[in-house]
Amino acid sequence: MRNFGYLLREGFRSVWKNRLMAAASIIVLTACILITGLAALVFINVNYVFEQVAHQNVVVVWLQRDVTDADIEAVGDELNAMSNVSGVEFLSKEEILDRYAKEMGSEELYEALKEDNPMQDSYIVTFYDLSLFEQTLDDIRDLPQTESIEAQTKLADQLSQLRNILMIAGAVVVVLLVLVSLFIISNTIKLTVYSRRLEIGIMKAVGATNFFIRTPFVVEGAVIGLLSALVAYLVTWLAYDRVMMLFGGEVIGMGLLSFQSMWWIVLLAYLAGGVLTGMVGSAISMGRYLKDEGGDPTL
Amino acid sequence: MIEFNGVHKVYDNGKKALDDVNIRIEKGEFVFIVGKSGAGKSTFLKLIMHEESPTVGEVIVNDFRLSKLRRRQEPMLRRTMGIVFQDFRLIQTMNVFDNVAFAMRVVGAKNREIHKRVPYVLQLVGLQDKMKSYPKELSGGEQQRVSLARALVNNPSLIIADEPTGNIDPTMSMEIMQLLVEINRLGTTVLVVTHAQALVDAFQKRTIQIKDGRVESDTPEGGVPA
Repeated sequence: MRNFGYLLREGFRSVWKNRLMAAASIIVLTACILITGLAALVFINVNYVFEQVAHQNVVVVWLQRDVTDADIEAVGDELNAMSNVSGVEFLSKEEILDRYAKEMGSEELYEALKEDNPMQDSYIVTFYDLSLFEQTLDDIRDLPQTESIEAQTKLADQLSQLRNILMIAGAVVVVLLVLVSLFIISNTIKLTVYSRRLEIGIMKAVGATNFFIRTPFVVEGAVIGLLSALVAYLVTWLAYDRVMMLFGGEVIGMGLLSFQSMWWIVLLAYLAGGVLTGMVGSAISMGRYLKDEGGDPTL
Repeated sequence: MIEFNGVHKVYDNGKKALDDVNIRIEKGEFVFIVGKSGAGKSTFLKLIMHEESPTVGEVIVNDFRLSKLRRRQEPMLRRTMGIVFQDFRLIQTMNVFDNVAFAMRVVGAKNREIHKRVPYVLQLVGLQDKMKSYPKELSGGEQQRVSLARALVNNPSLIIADEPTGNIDPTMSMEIMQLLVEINRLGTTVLVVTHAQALVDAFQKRTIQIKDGRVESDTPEGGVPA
């Protein structure tokens, strides 16, 4: 495509020629990307905290008193085989008694009860996904050797509900902002199309293809999107580090993700989102123009 | 080559613009199209440029059967014709060279070709010394010559001039017309839409008069019968 350089230059030139309009749409688009991005980052962190909570939300599975060593091993295997189980740790009744005795500060207690241990063997289990909490508990209950389960069902429930609400709210916000961005971009491009309708008319008259006519405007949209993404990225970086400093890097004792650990994901997502929005927005308004005005070179 | 076969054009609002028009213009001809405003001249041009389609009938331009023309082929049709407008339609922010080069760029010409062809065409219209000038620094006649150079630069087989002298003074008009005749002599079909009777009389070329959407007269030797 030997003309691509020319079309690219034309696009950049147009941004500069219409710099006031371009600046206005960069500001709005930057705000849209920022809000979307920050919402996403909050959500990612909330998710991250949930995961940690989920890991700490241990479930104690008490085994029946008469289990054999083979039973214990079988339950362990079954637990490990469950897809939502992230960690399985065995705690024998001797260990439990030992710990209990140590807590009481009396070695004799251990010796006295050793022969007729009142404790039960147990497994300490952690889950991956709290939204499947109940379901996984049922699966464990169905194991014949288990006697009872000790779990904080309510906490898991609330956490996963909170996450769902956040996710839906986030999605709604993102969709709205994408629509706003498309609207803003396509309006900006509409104005530059309007200011260049003479050029477009001449291009049509001498036989330029729609592709050729459209490309500089799509480039213009992409440039606006790119610049917005870069500005939004810088602001996000500063804001994120600032907030991290305020929180001291953690919430309710759970660590937060550092910006350094995901800067390139943020940058890529911003660039992709900005450039794509810019291109689609201008393609929309160009498509409408070329269709409405048809091939009228005398316009 | 332009061919109109039984062409009727009725606009969506019910306005009847052309009524059974049959015309054949051969390659290399020079033809005036005359008629009052509202007679159907504009519709006639719009049909040739495939900007409007006939309600009934067939239009063939430079071997393109326009009723069968797909949207994607429209640019290819347009490349076979050069259009000169009454109001010049020059891009004010580009100098003379770039205004003409623009027409080559948008059809994908190479830079080397552009730098060879544009000065040649500008010399043809006598503007070789004004390549760096901007439209606002030129007279009306000069601007129309730039516009003519732009129409010529892609070497079309048909030049359509829509009231080319409408906005310029009589002496300049004569110059433009002489250029069009010269271009025609080099083999390009030229179609001039005008209501400047003096020009039509002066050049003695085939003249088609349109009145109320019909071909009122078609005189090969020029002039309009009384």
